[in-house]
Amino acid sequence: MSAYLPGALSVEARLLQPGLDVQAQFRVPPGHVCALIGRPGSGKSALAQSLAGMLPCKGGRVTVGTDVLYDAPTSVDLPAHQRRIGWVDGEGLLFGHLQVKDNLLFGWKRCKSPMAGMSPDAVIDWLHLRSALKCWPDELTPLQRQKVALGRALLASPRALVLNKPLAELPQHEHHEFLDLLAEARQRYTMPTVLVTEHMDEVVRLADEVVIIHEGRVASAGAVSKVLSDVSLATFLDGPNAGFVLEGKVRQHDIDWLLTEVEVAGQRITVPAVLANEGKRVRLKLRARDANIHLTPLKDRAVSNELRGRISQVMLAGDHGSYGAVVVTLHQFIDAHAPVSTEGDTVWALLTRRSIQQMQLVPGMDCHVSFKAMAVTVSPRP
Amino acid sequence: MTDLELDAIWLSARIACLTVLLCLPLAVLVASWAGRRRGPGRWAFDALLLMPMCLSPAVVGWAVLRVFGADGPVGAPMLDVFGWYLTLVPDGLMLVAASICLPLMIRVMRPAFETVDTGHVMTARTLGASRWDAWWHITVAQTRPALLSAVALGFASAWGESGASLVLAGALEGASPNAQGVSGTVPLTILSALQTEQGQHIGLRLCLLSLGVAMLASLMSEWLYQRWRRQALPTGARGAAA
Repeated sequence: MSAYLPGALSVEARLLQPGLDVQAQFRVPPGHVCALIGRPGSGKSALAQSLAGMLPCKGGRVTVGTDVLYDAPTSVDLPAHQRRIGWVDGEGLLFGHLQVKDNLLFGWKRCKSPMAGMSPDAVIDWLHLRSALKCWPDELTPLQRQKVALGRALLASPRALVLNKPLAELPQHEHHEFLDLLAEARQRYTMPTVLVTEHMDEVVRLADEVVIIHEGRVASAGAVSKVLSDVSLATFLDGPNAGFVLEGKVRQHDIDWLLTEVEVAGQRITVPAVLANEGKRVRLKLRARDANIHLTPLKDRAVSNELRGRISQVMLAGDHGSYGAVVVTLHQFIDAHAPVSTEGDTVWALLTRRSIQQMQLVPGMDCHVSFKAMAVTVSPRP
Repeated sequence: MTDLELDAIWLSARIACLTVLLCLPLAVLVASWAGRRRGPGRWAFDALLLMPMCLSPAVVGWAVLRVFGADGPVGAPMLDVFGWYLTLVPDGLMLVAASICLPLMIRVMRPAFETVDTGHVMTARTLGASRWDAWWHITVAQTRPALLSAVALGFASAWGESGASLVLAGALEGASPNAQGVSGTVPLTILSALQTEQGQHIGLRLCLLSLGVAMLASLMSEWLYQRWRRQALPTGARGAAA
C-alpha cells in the first residue's frame, strides 16, 4: 500500500477576475461528485482553475485531507505541479506532439507515489485504448480524445479530480458513453471530484451535491434532487427547459415492451426501460413544461403517468413572469391507498397564466400531475 | 578544387556551425520570452531585436568593432579580465555572423512560441511537471520543427554573411581580404577571386556551391516550417489545411 489515503476536498476561495469577485466555500467528501453550475461567466471555471493552481487565489484555504494546498494566512501556495489535482478538460488538451501512449504516461512518469491499484495497463484496458496507443491525438475520435484525457489525469494519481465541462466537444450521441465512464471512474478511484458544467444532464447523472454559482457567489448548495427541483433556481438556470429531479426505486421491468415501473413516493409510474436491478434507486428527470396538471383523475390511465399530490405553491416564472409554475407536493403512499402527509417529494409544472386562471389553481388543492413515459429521462443513481 | 577553396569551405562551415550552435540556446530563450503575453511596451523590444537585420552590414561590422574592439565597452573589460581581444578568425567572423543570424532565428521562432496553447502547459503542470519541465517538454517540444527551421535558416545566413565580415577584415587585418595568407570565408573568397583573371573559375565553383547550400537550407527550413504549421495551427486558421 502506498501512502495514499483518500481525503475530502475542502475549498474556501476568493479570487479576482476581470469584473468579477469570486468567493465560494464548499466541501467534497472522497468518492463524491460536487457539481459547480451556473451561467457562463459566473466564475465557476475560474474557481476550478484556482483549485488546480492555474489561477492565483486572493484569499482563503484549500485542503485535500490533511494536505494544505493553499492557505492565505500562513501564505502556503503550492504550485500547480505539487497540488496533485487532476484536470480533465472538455477540449481534451491532448499534447499534439506526443502519441497517445506518451500522453497517457505523462503524469504517471512524474508521479512518485502512485495510488494503490493504479497501473497504466489497467487504465488502458478499462478505457479500451490499447489499439490506439500508437496514434497521434489528431487521429482520434472526440470520444477517444476524452478517454485519453481522463486516463492521463487518473494515471497521475491525483488527490482530487476536476472535470471542466467534460462533454463540451463530444457529439450528443457519445455523451452517454462518456458519462458512464465518468460514473465508473468515481467508483473505481475514490477521490473527491468537482464537475464544472452548464448542463443538467451531467449533473443528474453524476453529481451528489450541487453548488450553484451566480456572479461569483454561491447562490445555493445542497443535494441534487433538492437544489435542482427548486423552481426559481431551475428556471433561472434552464429557462423554459427547466425541470425537476425525483428519486425513485425500480419495482419491475416489462420485458415485452421494454418499460420499467418505478416507485416514487409510494406511487407507481412507467418509464422507458432502465438498466438497473429491481429495488435499485434511480433518478428521474422531467422537464416541467412536459408535465400537466388536472383536478380530476384521467379516464384512461394507460395513456399517461399520473402522480397524486397537493398544490403547495403557484408562482410566476420566466424572465418577466410570462408564464406560471405550479408546485405540487406528492402524496406519500406507504400502503396501497393510504395517503399520509409528510414532507414529500415535490414536482412542478410550467403552465400558461391563462390555464392557471381558468382552472383556478390555488395552494391547498388536491390535483393530479400527468406526463408521458417518454418525457422522463431515467438514470441509475450514482 | 584548390586548397584555397577547401580552406574557405572548411572555414565557412566551421563559422556557420559554431555560430548557429551558440545562437540557438539564446534565440530559444529570447523567442520564448518574447512570445509570451507581456506589457504594452513589448513591440518596442521586438523592434530592437529586428534592427540588426535592417541595418547595412557595414554598420553592423563597424558596431562590432566599436563594441568588442580593444577599447570598446565590452572589449576593454574582456581584455583586462580574460586577456581576450577581437581577432578576425574565428571570433570576429562569428560575432558578425551572429548579429545577422540571431535576430533572424528569433523572428522565425517567435510565432511558434506565440501559438503554444497555455492550456497545454497548464495541463502538464497539473500532471506534475514543474515550470521548467513543462517548458521543455511542452513549449519547446511543440515548437521543435519551427526551431529546427530557424536553425537551417540561421546556418544559411551565417554561411553567406559577407558585408560586415568585409568591414571587419579590412579593419582587423589592416589589409584587404584578398591579401595573400589571409584565409577568408566562402563569400569573401568569391569576392577576391572574382577580382583576378585566373580566379574566375574558382569564383564560379564557389558561387555554385553557395547556391547549393542556400537551396538546401531554404528547402529544409520551409519543409520543417510546414511540419510545424500542420501540427500547430488550429484547423480554422487561414492556411492550416495543406
